[in-house]
Amino acid sequence: MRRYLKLNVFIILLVTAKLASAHPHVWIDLRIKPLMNEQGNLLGLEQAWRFDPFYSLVLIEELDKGGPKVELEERYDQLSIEIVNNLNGVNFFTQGHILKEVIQWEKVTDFTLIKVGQQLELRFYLPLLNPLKIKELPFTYRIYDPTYYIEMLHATEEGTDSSALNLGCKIKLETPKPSFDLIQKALALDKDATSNNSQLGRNFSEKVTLDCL
Amino acid sequence: MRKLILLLLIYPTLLIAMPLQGLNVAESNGEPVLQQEQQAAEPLANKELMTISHQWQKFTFWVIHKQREYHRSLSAKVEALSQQQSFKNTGLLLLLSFLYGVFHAAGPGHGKAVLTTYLLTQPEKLCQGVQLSFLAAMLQGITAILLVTFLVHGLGWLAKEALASVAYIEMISFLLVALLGLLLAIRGIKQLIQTKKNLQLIALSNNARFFPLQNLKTKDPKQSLALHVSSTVLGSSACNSCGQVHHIAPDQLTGRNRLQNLSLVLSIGMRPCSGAVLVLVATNLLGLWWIGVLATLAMALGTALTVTTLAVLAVQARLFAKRLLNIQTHALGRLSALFVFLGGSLILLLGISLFIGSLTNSNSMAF
Repeated sequence: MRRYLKLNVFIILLVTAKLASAHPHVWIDLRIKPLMNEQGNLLGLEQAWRFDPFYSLVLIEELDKGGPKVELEERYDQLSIEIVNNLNGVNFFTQGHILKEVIQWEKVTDFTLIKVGQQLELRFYLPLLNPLKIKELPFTYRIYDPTYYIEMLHATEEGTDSSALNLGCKIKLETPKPSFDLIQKALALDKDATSNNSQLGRNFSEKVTLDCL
Repeated sequence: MRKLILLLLIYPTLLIAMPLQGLNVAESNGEPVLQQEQQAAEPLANKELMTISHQWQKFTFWVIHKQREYHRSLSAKVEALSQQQSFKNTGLLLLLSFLYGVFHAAGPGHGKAVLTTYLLTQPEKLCQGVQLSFLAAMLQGITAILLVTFLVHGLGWLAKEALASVAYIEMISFLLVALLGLLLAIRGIKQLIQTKKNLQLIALSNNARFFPLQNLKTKDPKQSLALHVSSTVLGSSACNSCGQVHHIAPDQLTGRNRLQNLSLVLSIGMRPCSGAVLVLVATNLLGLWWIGVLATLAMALGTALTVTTLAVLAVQARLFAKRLLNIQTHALGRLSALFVFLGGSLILLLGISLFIGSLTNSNSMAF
């Protein structure tokens, strides 16, 4: 009995500790525009990622000083290719679901890295592997870094863009409300709590639902 | 209850052994179903513990949120300053930095783990604990400033490179942690051997009842030292600067203490807070270097506040435990020697595991 008690406390402490050490260090503001065809099928997500001011500053300096001025544009392209190569494997942290079923993505296209004021922004199009019939089947997506090293939230203004959706379609964004219990359970359920397969970031991610009547 | 208190205080140590998470590039599948399937019936006795840990969890959660908030407003403020420099903006930035420091330090980190373990197992006085932790925290800020000055202004490195260098300095500080642990463990063993000898001496003197007690000290200097040591091992060491008269420990103990304290302060203080380095390089890129320096110092002050509080708690917990245990002096001597040894081993392990972790996990910069 006593042993159980101790064990319990120990586990809880480990769990909270893991949580505390995993606060975000970089953040990205998202602007997402779902694209549809005339048949009412979802084709993919047009995304714009704006990096936080500090991280942007650091990257911009590197780009500026990385070589002669005339080749600046090429360096931007080079960096965008690097990022795309790194993140294609994880579908740019985008998780799509329809009725609990995981949606497959294609590799991104039309990517470009630009400077907006003092911040960097990566724009790209993430197509679905197959066009998706979403009439009466709500499609949901989340975009998050599982380790929560990067915090990814939709921009407070125009975070989602429904202008390319058919009539009768709505976008609903749910802000994360991670309760303590939920996080505790999520971490307890996380079989590889000490490995890199953490799903911590999910609990802090926004859930977006696309509903078409 | 007392176990709980101790556990809570040693707790940072337990967890830092876990590798820090880098960027995860693992494929994840599906929405994990987080249902209430695991709600096994808790034993009644667990209730109390559960509420305490729940409160603790709430606190941790709150800390993370605050930290995140301050981090965001910090960068917003720096941007605002680059547009328009004013006293008001600068003041706000310094305040934000201070608060960020307070909350950043409230989350667990290896420095705090080392510090609490050290103070829980070492016979440091309260004021010394406060001094050590304050020094270590301030040194963290100063290290960050010196590092960026040297790398960016001196060598002309890029901000990104300077940020990346933190990982290497971290490795050195982890090795220092291991060294500190080793020092402590060795000292623990030595003390164990010594108290064993002392016990034998005491046993001898107890048997020899016909010796008048007053004469004992003068007769055999070894014996008097023995009694002296066993009663001071846990009780005190020199803490002269606090203006109180303490039991002065034997010189050799103090000398070693100094080395220990130095490696304690260095192992914590040598590792610059990555947040501070980020603020420094960012302000520098915006041409606001001196504001960055001030912000870093404010951050260090905030950190010092939290860490010092933690140090006070650790020392109090040790004194509390000592009172509760209420063991006779000579037994206490052995017990404390054992504690020193265990604490040292724990810190040694921590240092080694952190070092190994840092070798494999060096991709802290995203993408």
